[in-house]
Amino acid sequence: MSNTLQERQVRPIYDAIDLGQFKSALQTCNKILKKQPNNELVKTLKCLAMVRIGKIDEAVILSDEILAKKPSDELVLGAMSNVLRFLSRHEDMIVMYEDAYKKNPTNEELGAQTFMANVRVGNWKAAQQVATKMHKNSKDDRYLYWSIMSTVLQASDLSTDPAMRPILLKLALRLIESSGSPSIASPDRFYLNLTVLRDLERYEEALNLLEGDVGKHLCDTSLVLEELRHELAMTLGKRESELQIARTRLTERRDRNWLTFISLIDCTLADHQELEATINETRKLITSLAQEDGTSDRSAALALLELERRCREKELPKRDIPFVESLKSYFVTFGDKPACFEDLKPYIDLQGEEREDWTTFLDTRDLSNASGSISELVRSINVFKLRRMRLIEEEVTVEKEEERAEQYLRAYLAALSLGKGLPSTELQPADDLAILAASAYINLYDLSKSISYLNCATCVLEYASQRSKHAFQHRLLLIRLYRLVGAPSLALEHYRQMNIKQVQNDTLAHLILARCATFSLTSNGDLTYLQECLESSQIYSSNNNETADMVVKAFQFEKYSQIPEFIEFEDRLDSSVQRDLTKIEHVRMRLAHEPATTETIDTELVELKFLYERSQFHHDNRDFSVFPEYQPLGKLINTQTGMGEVSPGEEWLTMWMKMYIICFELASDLDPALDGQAILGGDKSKPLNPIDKDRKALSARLREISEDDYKTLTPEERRLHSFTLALVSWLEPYNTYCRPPPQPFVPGAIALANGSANAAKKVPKPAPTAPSEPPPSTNPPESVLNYFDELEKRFRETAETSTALPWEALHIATLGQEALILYNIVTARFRLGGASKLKKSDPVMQSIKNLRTKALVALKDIGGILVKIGETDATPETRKEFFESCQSITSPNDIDHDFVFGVAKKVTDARKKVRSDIGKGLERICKGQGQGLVLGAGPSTGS
Amino acid sequence: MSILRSFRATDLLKFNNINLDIWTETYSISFYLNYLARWPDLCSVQQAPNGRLMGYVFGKAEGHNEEWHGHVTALTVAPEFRRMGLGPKMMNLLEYVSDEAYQGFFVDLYVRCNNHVAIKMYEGLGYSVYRRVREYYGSLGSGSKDEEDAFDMRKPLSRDPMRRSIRANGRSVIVSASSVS
Repeated sequence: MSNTLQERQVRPIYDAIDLGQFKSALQTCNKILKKQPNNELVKTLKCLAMVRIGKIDEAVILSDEILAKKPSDELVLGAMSNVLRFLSRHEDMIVMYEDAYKKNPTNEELGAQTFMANVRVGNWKAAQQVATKMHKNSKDDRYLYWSIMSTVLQASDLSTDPAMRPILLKLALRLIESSGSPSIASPDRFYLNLTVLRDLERYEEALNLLEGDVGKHLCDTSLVLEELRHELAMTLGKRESELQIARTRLTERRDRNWLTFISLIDCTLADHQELEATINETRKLITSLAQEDGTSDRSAALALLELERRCREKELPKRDIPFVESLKSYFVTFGDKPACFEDLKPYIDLQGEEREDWTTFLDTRDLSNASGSISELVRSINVFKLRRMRLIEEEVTVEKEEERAEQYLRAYLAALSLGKGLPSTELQPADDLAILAASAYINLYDLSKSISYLNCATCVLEYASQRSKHAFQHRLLLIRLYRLVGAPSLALEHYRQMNIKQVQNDTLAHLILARCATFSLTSNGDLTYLQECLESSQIYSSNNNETADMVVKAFQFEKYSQIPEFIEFEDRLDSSVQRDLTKIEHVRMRLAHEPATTETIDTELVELKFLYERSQFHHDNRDFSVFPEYQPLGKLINTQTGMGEVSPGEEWLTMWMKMYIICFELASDLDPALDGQAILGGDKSKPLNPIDKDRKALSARLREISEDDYKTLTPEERRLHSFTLALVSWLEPYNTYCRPPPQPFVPGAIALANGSANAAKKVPKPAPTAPSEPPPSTNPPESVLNYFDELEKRFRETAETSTALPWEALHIATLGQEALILYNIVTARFRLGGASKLKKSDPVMQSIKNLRTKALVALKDIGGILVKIGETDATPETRKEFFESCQSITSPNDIDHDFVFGVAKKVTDARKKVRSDIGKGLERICKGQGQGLVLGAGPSTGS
Repeated sequence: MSILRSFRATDLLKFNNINLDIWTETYSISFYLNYLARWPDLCSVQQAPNGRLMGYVFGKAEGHNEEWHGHVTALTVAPEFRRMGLGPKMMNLLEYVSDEAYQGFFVDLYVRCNNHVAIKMYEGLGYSVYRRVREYYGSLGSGSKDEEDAFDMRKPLSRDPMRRSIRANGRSVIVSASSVS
């Protein structure tokens, strides 16, 4: 067929795809294929359209058919690469391009595509070989550098044998030297050359390259190169010359980069003979710079503090002016900058006389004019923060903290006048005073355990949030407080207002998703949190696609300095702790919503095992530094406002993953010897290597409990943990007797998504090991027998205790619900008619039945109590109670009666809703799941 | 007092104190990495000694012939570090690199017409309005023209000694968003 004809034929298909009209594209394809069943391009476009409308199964079959013919037409390849990327079949993409390139070894485009396909999955060795071949054919240095970069990446890859590292680096260096043009022609080639030398510890050579004229010029416009130059010089101990460079920069070029000051100070204090003279000289230099800069730049003044702090630490000669005087003078000069507090924070850990001197200085600051001007206001805010930091234990009493809270609040309300005319998009200059007041109230709660202080903090922050609509710090604290007081819907509202998106989903989702199963209403069909989990997890698939694309782009534009950074970024998101935390919350909530079918359990089991194995490479990207921290005595507002003493992190996650895997294993017929990697690892883009060969078997590791992990659980979570473990070990012998021979995993949704359609074949089928006689009957352990009764007791106590926070009772209730769900899962095999080999009259069977009855009674009670408490929640009495607890902050002109009542209504309404809904959900679970686990049927939503 | 260094991909995991502010948009991963993969020397970050990020700039080089220039795509400073001259420092670096490494004729940037603080700062740095672009930005809620319209502001570099890249009556030259992007 002629090209123009072909083009006329496929143009409408491409157009439809571009416009997102995949169905219409599919119809056009089918029409053409009727007449030309062998038109490969149309077939490929059909495949692409099918992928986009979700006909994955058919697309997979069609794509296999196309690949089997080893396409070489560039249009077919292009469309096919889209299909394969969508299906994450990266390995197939490599093979496809490799075959096409072999057929046309002079086609550079195909070579580049083969190279990039390897880059996308981090297949550095193969990428290097392709690039070398391309360089041989075309003599283009660009491809030589591609091969060099790939070699360097191979050297730093975790799966590369450490002994190979220097060999690969030397190879890279040889390749650089073989190039026709020197690396210095481009900053990024030059950078690559230098890092290779650095990694080979040939620092002298690297520095020599940098100190030539061109090198110097490049350092001038590239911060990356300058950083590297300094690093090399310091490693080589070039103290004297670096000192000189820093001096020149600071004086002649008026460089005020903090790194330059640090370099100056580091070089001054490095071990050498004229230490004292050099210190004096540096001190003189910085002092004169500070005088020269005045208020225009803080770096020199702060560098002076840094130098003194370091001298004091090392017991080196001090300045003739006392340290506290330097602090005072810094405050006098820069006290009207909001950053002054953060600037001084590292330097105010003082003792004895110095402390007293500093305290007196702060206490004698005149704050009477705080609302006179913005700079006076900022100054007072700094004084308040600095004073708060140096409080000692005797000063942090309920009485004194109350005084302070009122003082901050008064100052806040007075200073609001300064921001009256500002547009609503601007922040109020007084915002931090509201944060300080709220911090004091939160600390008061911590001291007294009286919830009324949390109500005060809430009202102050809500008020401040109204005055300064876009101040995110108020919202951060409100989110935390609303969770504590059992009003999660209000927390979610504020979270949404913050407009968290993209990569922030990884770093900030903890705000709303940490222990979110506590508030989940999935039992009632409300999927808000499940949805939130899915939405916030999208960033991880974006990362897999987009970041790999950008690594490819960095190769295309030869920005070699960026490539290792992109790879690190990709890895940090890919193995993010939050990612798996979100996953485990999703599993917990999902099971309260839908029946746990064998398919659900098998799929989740396999995925959890995979995640567990991968968790040894976790990165914790969660951002807690956004919290405003102004608490005295080293306390953190982040901890004070968290649900549970420790925020769920990596250790907590390990406990939950193990617990769920152990429970799922009992219910699943899959071969327990399979680990996640065997099933999913086959075609994963990143291998799980290196895995320690001496590592114990998975089953043994799952049963190990580390003290550090255990400590991160709340007391109630610990009880659930002991309950499930005791239950599983009691049932295990009977389970082994009853379960059918181990089944291989038939890959469902996950395997498809990962493109590992062949994975199941790799799994060997083990021999059946079931004993022929039932094991002797034993009674369930005490801890299992009494768990639900005691849970109910604890729930009642907590619900009645006035100092317990509302979230705590919900925590007990939802964990009880989870215990029942897990109980149903692990006992399903025994309870379902015909599935069990044990006789109905067997005492074990009786115990299983009785235990469940006990659980249902206790949980129904709890559900009933919650519904009842809910009924009394949003009443005039509860609102009045809330209002009365906030009396100290109420005043007719600002935080008035109506405002506080408004907040009271919102809080009590939200609390009522969650309590009665969780209560009703519990009752539903008791009824619904009371009929037993539905095995082998039921919907599976996938995750 | 701050560390001025090149922006790294992993800084995206630490920029919340800057990006939670209303004036700062959070884009997709590929948006940021695309800039770093092409113009890493025009992207820098200011960091406080305690590691906290204070502000950052993302720029690119684009245009043909006399229109070849450095462009400031995003410049932002966290609220608590404003009014301390961080913006000008990052702008200086971007201008320097646009001049020395890219040999551009000018540097330009877009700013909401109602962002008076920023406009004043840019004027102080030698920028002037070249034209007003209709409905360049999404609304922040007030629906006013000044909120959605952008000023395209420019500053000539050493390669444009005759200052041909700017004009005096820029505020009254109005173009549509579709004609610039």
